[in-house]
Amino acid sequence: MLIKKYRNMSIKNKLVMIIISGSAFAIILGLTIYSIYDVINYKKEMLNNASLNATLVGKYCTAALIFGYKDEAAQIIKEISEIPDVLNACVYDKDDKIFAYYNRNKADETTFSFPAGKNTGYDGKYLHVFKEILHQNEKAGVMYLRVSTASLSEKIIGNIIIIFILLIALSWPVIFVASKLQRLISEPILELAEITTRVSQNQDFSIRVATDRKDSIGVLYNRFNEMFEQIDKQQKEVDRANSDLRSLNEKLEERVSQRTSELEKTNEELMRAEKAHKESEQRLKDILNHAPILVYINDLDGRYIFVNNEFERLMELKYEDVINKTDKELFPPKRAERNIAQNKKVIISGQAQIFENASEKKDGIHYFYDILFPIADSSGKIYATSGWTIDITDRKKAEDALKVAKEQAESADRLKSAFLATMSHELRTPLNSIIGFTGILLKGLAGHLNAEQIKQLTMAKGSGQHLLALINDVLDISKIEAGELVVSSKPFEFAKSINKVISIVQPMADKKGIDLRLYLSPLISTITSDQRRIEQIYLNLINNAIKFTEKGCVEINCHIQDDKIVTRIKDTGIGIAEEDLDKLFKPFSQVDTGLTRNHEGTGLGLSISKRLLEILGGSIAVESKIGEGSIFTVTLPINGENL
Amino acid sequence: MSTKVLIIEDNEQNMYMVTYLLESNNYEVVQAFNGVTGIKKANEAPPDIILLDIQLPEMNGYEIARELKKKIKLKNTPIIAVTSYAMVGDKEKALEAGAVGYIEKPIDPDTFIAQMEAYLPEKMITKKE
Repeated sequence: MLIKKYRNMSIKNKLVMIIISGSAFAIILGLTIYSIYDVINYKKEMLNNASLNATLVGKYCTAALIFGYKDEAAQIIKEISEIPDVLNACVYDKDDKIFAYYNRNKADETTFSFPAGKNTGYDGKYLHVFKEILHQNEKAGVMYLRVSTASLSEKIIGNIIIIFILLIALSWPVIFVASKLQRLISEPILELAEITTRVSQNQDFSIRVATDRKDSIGVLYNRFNEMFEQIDKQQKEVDRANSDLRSLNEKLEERVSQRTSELEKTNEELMRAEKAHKESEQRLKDILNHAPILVYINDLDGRYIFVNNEFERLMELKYEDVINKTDKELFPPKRAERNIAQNKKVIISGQAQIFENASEKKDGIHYFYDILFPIADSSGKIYATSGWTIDITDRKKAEDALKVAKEQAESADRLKSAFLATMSHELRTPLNSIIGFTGILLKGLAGHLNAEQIKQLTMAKGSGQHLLALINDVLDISKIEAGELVVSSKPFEFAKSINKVISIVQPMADKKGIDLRLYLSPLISTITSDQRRIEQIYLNLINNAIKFTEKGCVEINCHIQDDKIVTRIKDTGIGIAEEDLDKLFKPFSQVDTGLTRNHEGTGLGLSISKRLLEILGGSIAVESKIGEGSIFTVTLPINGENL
Repeated sequence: MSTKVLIIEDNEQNMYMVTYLLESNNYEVVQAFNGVTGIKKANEAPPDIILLDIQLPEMNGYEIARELKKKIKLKNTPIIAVTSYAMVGDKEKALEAGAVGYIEKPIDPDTFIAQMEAYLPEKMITKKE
C-alpha cells in the first residue's frame, strides 16, 4: 500500500520523503543507541550503588554478626530504608541462614521470601544484590538487597520521550533543508520531465534541454538531447518512411481501387458475356430446335450429345433416349455402319463432308442430304462432329423434274435453232428464186418485155425483196432473243464500210432529191468489230433517215470521242413524237403515222440495230421533234476485240 | 474452148436460174445436185471454177470444199461459196474449207455474173454478145 502510494508520489515529495526518512532514521538510531548506552550505564551505576550499599551495610553488620546481635543487625539494616529503591534487605550468617532482615513494605512480610540462591543480577523487575560480609578475610555472612528497577523503567521511558521530542523538533529543519535540497535534483528532473512532456505532447523532438552542467544531471541532459536527436532523426526517418509508406499506400490504394474497378468491369463484362453466352446458347438451341432439318452432335466415340426437335420427330426417338447412345445402339446395323463411316471420314479429313443417302420409309424412298462437319475447341482439336440432315426427297423430285424439263427445254432449244436455220434456208430459197427469176425476166434475158410487164414484174420483185428483208429481220431478232446471235470481231476500215453503205443508199437519196452529206473525221481509221453487222446498222439508220425525209438533207457526222466512234445521223424528216420515242426501239412497233404505206419497213430495223449495238458494246440514242427531223447518235467502241 | 463452171446445188430452181444466167453469158455449165456427184464430176473433168452451195443435205458445202481441195487436179480451181445472208460464220468457214470467195443469196441477176467473174482469170472471162 505504502509502496504503491510512494510510487505515485511526485519526485519532489519522494525526495523530501527520502531525506526525512533518512534523517529520522539517523536521529532515531543515534538517540536509541545513546539511550541504550545510557540505560546500560544507569543499570551499571544502580548495581554499583546497590553493591556499595550492601558492602557498607554489611560492614556495619559485621560486629553484630560475629557477636550474634540480631537486634542490632536488624537496627542497622533498618537504616537501609534511607536508600529509596531498596525494597528488601537481608543478612545471612555464615551458614546462609537468615540473620536479620528488613522489608520496606509490610505486605512483603507475608508474601516475600528471601531467595536461597546467591546470584547477583536483574530478574526483569528487580535487581538482586548479594555481597559477602568479610571479617579478617573470612566470610562472616552475606548481605542481600532487593532493589526496585522502577527508576530504570522511568529512565527508559524518559529517554524514549526525549527521542520523540528531539525527533519532532529536529524534523522541521530537516524538512526545510530537504525541501530546499530536493530542488537540486528534482528541478532538473522536473524540467526534463516537463520538456519530455512537451516533446511527447508536441511530438517535437527538435526541442533541446539547455545545460552547461558537468555533473550527472548535465550528462543526463546531454544524453536526453542525444536521445532526442536520435529520436528526432529516427522520427524524421520514420516520418519520411511514413510519408513514403503513405504515398506508397495511396498508390497502392489507387491501384487497388483501379484494379478493383477493372475487376468490377471485367466481372461485369464476364457477367454480361456469361449472360450473352447463355442467351446465345439458348438462342442457338431455339434456332436448332426450330430448324426444319435434323441437327445432331456426336462426340468422338460416336455418342449423341445433342439432337434437335426435328431429329426427335423424324427419327421417332426421344431426346433422352438418344443422348449418350451410339448409332449401333439406335439404328439397324447397316445404317449405323454408314453413319460411323461418315463420321470417321469427317474426323480424319478435319473438313466438312457432304453425303447423300437414301432411306426406305413408310411412304417410299426418302433422300437425305447430310452435311457433316467437325467441331473443334479453341486450340483446333476436334472433339465432336455435327451433322445437318435435310430431307431432300421433294427437292430431288423437283430436281429430277427440272432435269427432265431442262432436257426438254434444251432439246426445244436445239429444235428452235434447227428450226431457225431451216427456216432461214427454206424461206429464203423460194424467195431467192422469185427474186432471181423476176430479175432475169426484167433484164430481158428471156425476151423483150412491154412496159406493163416490166411494171408488174418490178412490183413482184419489190414485194419479194420486202418479204426477204422481213424474213431476215425476223430471223435476226429471233436469234438475238434466243441468244443465238454470234458476232465476229475483226479489224476493218471504218471509212470503207460507211462509204459502201452510202453507195447503197445514194441512188435512193438521189431519187428523192435529198442531199446526203458525210463528214468523216480523218482520225478514224481501223475499227475492230463485226463489219457485216456494223454495215447492217448504218444501212438501216441511213436508210430510215432517207426514207422518212421528203426534202432537205441527211447529214452523217462521224468523229472520235474517248476511244469511241460517235456517229450522228441527222435528218430533216417527219420526226418522232416525244411519247413515241421510248417505243421506237421495241420490235414490231414502227411508229404508226399513217404514212406506213409510204415508208414500208419491217418495223424491226431499229430494234435489231439497238440490240446489235449492245452486243457490240455500243449504244444508240435518239432526239427528235415532230416535223423538224431526228438525230440518231450511234456510239461504237473502236476496239471491240473482247466481244 | 468455153469456160466450164461446175454448179453444186440441190435446189432445182436455183440450179436452173444460175445455169440460165451462166449459159446466157456463154459459160459451159456442169450440174451436180449433191456433193458426191459434184466431187465425182469435178474429178472426171476438172472445171475452171466451182460454184458451191453451202446448205446441202447429207454432205454440206464445207465438207465438199475440203474433199475437192484434196484433189491435185483441182488444186488451182477456184471454189466460190454461195451462202445465205445472215448466217454468221458461213463465209469464214467456207474460206477456211478452201473457197476463195463467196456470193450471197439471193442471187441478183444484175450482179451475179460480175461477182463470179471477179474470181476468174482474165482469159477465162467469156465475151459478152
